[in-house]
Amino acid sequence: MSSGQLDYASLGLKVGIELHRQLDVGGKLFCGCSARREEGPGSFRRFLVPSESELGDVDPAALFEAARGLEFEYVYGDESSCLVEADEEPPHDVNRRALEAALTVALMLGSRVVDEVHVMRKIVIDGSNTAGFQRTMLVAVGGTLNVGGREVGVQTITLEEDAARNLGSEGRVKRYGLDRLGIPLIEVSLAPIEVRSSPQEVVEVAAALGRLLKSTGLVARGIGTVRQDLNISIRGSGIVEVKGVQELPLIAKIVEFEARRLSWLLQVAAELSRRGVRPESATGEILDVTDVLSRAGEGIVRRALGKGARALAFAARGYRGLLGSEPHEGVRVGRDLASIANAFGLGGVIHSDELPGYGIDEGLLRELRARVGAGEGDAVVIALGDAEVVRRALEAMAARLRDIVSGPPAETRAPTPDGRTRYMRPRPGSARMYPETDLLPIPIEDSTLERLRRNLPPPWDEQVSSLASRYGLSRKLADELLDSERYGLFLEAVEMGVRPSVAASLVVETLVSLRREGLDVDSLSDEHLRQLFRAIASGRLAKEAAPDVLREIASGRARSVDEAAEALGLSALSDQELLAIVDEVIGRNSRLIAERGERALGPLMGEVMSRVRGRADGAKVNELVRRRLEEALRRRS
Amino acid sequence: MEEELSGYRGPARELLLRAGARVGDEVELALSDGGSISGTLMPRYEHADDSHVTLKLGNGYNIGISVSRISEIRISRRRAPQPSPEPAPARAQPGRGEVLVLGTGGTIASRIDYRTGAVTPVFRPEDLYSRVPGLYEIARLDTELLFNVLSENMTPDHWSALAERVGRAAAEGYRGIVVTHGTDTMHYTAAALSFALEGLPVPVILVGAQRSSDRPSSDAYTNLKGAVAAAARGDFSGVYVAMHRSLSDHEIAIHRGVRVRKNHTSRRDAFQSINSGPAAVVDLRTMEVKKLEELPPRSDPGSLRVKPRFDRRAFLLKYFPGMDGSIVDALVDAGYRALILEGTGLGHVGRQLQGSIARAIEEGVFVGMTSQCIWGSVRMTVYETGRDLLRLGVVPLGDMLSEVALVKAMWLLGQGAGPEDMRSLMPSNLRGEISERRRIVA
Repeated sequence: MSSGQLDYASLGLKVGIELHRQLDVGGKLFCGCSARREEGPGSFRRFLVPSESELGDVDPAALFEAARGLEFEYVYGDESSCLVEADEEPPHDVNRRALEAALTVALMLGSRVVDEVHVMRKIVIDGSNTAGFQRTMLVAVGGTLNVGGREVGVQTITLEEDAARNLGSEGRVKRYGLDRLGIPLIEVSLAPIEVRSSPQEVVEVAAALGRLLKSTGLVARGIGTVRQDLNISIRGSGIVEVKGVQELPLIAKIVEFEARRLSWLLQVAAELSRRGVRPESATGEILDVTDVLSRAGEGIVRRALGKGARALAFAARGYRGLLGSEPHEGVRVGRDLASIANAFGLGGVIHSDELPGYGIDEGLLRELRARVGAGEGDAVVIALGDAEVVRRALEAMAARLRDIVSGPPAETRAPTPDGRTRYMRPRPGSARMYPETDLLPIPIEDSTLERLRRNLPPPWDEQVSSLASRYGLSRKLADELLDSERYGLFLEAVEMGVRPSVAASLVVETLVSLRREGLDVDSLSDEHLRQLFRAIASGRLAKEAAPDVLREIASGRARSVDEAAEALGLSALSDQELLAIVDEVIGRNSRLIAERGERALGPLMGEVMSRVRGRADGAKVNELVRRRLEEALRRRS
Repeated sequence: MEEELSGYRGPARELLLRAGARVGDEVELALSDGGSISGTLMPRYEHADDSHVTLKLGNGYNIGISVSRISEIRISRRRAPQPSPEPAPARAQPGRGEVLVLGTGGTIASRIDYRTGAVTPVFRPEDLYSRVPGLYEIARLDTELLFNVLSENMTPDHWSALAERVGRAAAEGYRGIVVTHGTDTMHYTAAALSFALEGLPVPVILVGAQRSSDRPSSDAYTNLKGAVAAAARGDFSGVYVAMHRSLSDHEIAIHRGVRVRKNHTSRRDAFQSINSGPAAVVDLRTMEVKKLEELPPRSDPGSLRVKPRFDRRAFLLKYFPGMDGSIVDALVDAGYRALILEGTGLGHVGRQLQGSIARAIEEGVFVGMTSQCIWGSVRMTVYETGRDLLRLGVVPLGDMLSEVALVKAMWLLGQGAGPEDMRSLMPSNLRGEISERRRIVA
C-alpha cells in the first residue's frame, strides 16, 4: 500500500463518533460558578495518586500517566472557580437545566432515558481534573440519528464535567486553568458506521448530530465548545481513539490517515510474524550503554552525554527496517516511539534504522548491537537523559513494540492540526469508574419527561425556514448561519442595527472565504467581530471594508478593528467628502458622459468605488453617482 | 444472607428475592414497555429509595431502573466467587518497625474495586507502602487497628484506650507514633492525648484526610507521609496534628495538639494553629522536618507518666444573646462538675445568667471562661460584665481554646481534682495550651 486511493470497504474501516459539546445553561454542572473564560490570578499545586483496584491491577492508562511522575499547577479566577473546582468541597446538586438539556436531546434521538441517573467518577489522572476523576452520568441509551436516509444508531447519551483547560507544561509541571473545569458537557456516542466509499461520510454524520444539538438552543457555540472523539478501527486492528478533534473538516483527513496507519501496522505485524517474532520476547533487556556511546563523534549524542545524560538502549527483535519505513507521509513506527519519548519529557529517541548518524558510526553501531544482544534482523532503540526517566520511557516504548507484534494496538491518539494523529497513551481499560459517593442517585420523573416532550424544539428545517423568512435570507444562508459557531454574534449584530443580510454573510461567507485563503480565522475573537459590527452599524466603516479589516487582524498585523481600519486608511468618508470625489470624477469624464449618456454609470461607479472602497457604502455611492450623472446629463440637454 | 442484597429494601428487595438475584450477578431485566437491559446487579446506597434497582452496564456506568418497569429478571451469570483480596506483599519487612501507626477509624488509604464500586480500606504496612509512593523510604512501619469508629462517635473512653496504647508503644521504644483519625474531632483527641501522656518521650502525630482516600487527589497520602516523617525524624516530642498547610500538596503543617482547631468543613488546610503558627512543617519535596518554634526535645522513656482517665462531667456551653440561666441550673442539677463557658468577646455572658452561675460555683462546680471569637485571649477586667463574673468566681482561661478547656476539665476531674485544684490548675499552662504572648504576626 502506498499513497494511492484506499478501498475503505475492503479494509473494514469502522468509525464511531463521540460528540462532546458544552451546554450553555448558565453555570457549571456541580457548583454555582460562572462558565466564562478567566485567567488567574491564584494558583495551587497538586499530585495525583491513582487508586488500585481490589485485584491490584491499575488501569493501564492511569499507570502510564502516573509513570510520568507529574506535578500539576492549577490557575484559578474568582468568578469561574470555587472550592468545588479546587476539589476542596463536595459537589453541589446537579445543575437541573443541564440535566434537562441532556434529557431533551435524548428525547429528540428517541433514546431510552434511564429511570434513575447515577453520577459516576471516571478516573482521569492526567491532571485535567483536580479530583483525579471526571464526574459523568449516563442519561439515556439507544436511539437513532437520521443522516440523509442512513440510520446511525445512538449508543449512549451522557452528561459530564468538562476538564480543566490545558495551559501547557514546564518540565514535570503541567498547568491547567480551572475556568473550564465543571462546565456541563453533553456526550452523544454513536454506533460505529462502516465507511463505504469516503471518510466524508463520517463528516456528514458528525455534522448532522451537531445540527440536532444546536437546534435545542441549549448548547454553547464557539471555539473550544465542541470536541469529537473518533473510535477508528479496520479489520484486524484494535480500536484507536482519536481524542478531541475540534473541526469537522479535519475528521475526513484523520480518518484517512488512521486507515493508512492501521493498514501499515497490519503489514508490520504480518512481517514480524513471518520473521518469527513473538510478542513476549519482542524486546530485550534495557541496558545502560553510556560507555559505548561516549565514544560517539560530534553530534547530539555526544552533546547530551557531555551534559551528564545517560544513554540506555534495548534490542527490538525482528524490527530492523520496520522502525524507519514510511510508506505514507507521517506513517512510521519510529514516529510513535518519539511521541512516547516526548510524553516523558525527552527530546526524542534514536533507533538503528536511522544509523549511522548523530555521530554514531558503523563500528559503534556494531558494538551497540553486540551490547544489547541485537541480531542481524533486530533494531536497537536508544534514548538519552536522566537515567530513571529514560528507563521508564524505554519501558513504555518496549511495551508498545511488543503490542504491535499482535497487530495494530488499541490506543489513544491526539489529532494534529494537519489532519494526522500522534500517539498519546495506551487505551484506558474499561473498568475505571465507580460511584460518586458524595451524591445521591437522581430519579427522573415521568412528569419531567412529559413536560420536556411537549416542549421539544422545532425540527432543524423548520428553524431554518423561520430564520430565513424573519430576516429575509436565502434558505442556504439561513441554514449555514444556524449551523455556525458564531450564530449568537449574528443576533447581536442585528440587534446593533446591522442589516441581517450583511451580518449573515459576514458571519458565514466572509469567514469561510478568509479561511480558504489560509488565514487563521479562529484567531478572530467574538469581540473583534463585535467591534466590526459596531463600526458598520454606526457608519464608521463600510461593509465592503469588512474582509480587508478581518484579514488584517487574522494575519496578525492588527489587534483591533480600529487598528486595522487605521492601518488600511479606512475611515468612512463624510457625505461631503464623498460628494467631492463623485463631482471630481464626473467633471473629469465629461467626454465619456457625452458619448455614452446614462450608460456611463457603470464606468463612473467603477472609478469612484476604486477610490472609496471600504470608506463608503456601495449603495450610497451608487445613488450619489446616479444623481450627479442625471444632473450632468440634464445640464447638457 | 444480608450481604447478598446489600442496601435493598421494600419493593426492590422483594422483586430481587423473588427472582433469586444477588448483588454481583449478571442479569437481564425485561422491561414492561418492551426491550430489555443487561448488566451487573449492584448494591444500593443506604439512603437511596426502595423503588429502583441499580445495574452496572458493560460500559461501566451505573443506572437505576424502576421496579415498576421491570417485568422479569433473568440471571445470566452468577457472581463469580470473590477473589481473595490479598495481593502479594510488595515489601515484607523483617523485625519491628520504627514507627507505629495506630488506626482509630476512617480510611487513611483504600483500594477501589471498579467492578463493584466497593471501597476497601487498606492498613497493613505492605499495603500502605504500595499505596503511598515514597512512604517506604521514610520509615519502616508497624500498624495496628485499635478501633474503627467515625470521629463523631469518639468518646472519652476511646481517648483513654488510645492513651494507654500510645503510652505502651512509647515505652516499647518506637521512634514515633502515628494515629490515623477522622478529622471531625481529631483536635479533641489531640488535646486529650496531650494531657493524658505526661513526659511523652517521642512525637505522637495524629493525621487524617479531608478528601476521601478513594480519590486520586486525596490528601490522605501526603498527610500520612508528613505524619510518618514527623514521627520518625522530628527532633521533638509531644502530641501533634499533621495536615495540609495550604491547598497545595507541598507542605504538611505540624500543629501542637493543644493549639489546633478544625476551622473549615472541607478544605484540606482546615486545621490551623490558633494564636500561633504551626509548630513545624514537613517539606514533601525533600521530606525535611523543620521546626518553626521551640519544642520539647525527645527524652528518656522513663519520664513518661500515662494518666488516661477522663471524667465526663464537664460541659461546654456556648453563650448566645438571650440565653437564660435555666440551662446552667439544669447542668448543675444533672451533676456536672465543670462548666466551660464560650462567652462573647473578651469573655462575657448576659447579666441574666449571673444568678445561676453564682449558684453553680457555690455548689462547687468549676466555671471557666473562654471566648467564642476563637482567636485572642479572654480578659475579664476590661468591662463591668467581666468584672462582675470574676467577682462571682468565674475563672478566665486566657487564650485556651474552648474545646481544649473542656478536654482539660474532663482530664483534671478524671485525676480526682477538687474545686480548689480546678481553680488553680485550669488556668495554669500544663502542656502549652495557654500562652502569655500572642504575636503580632501569627
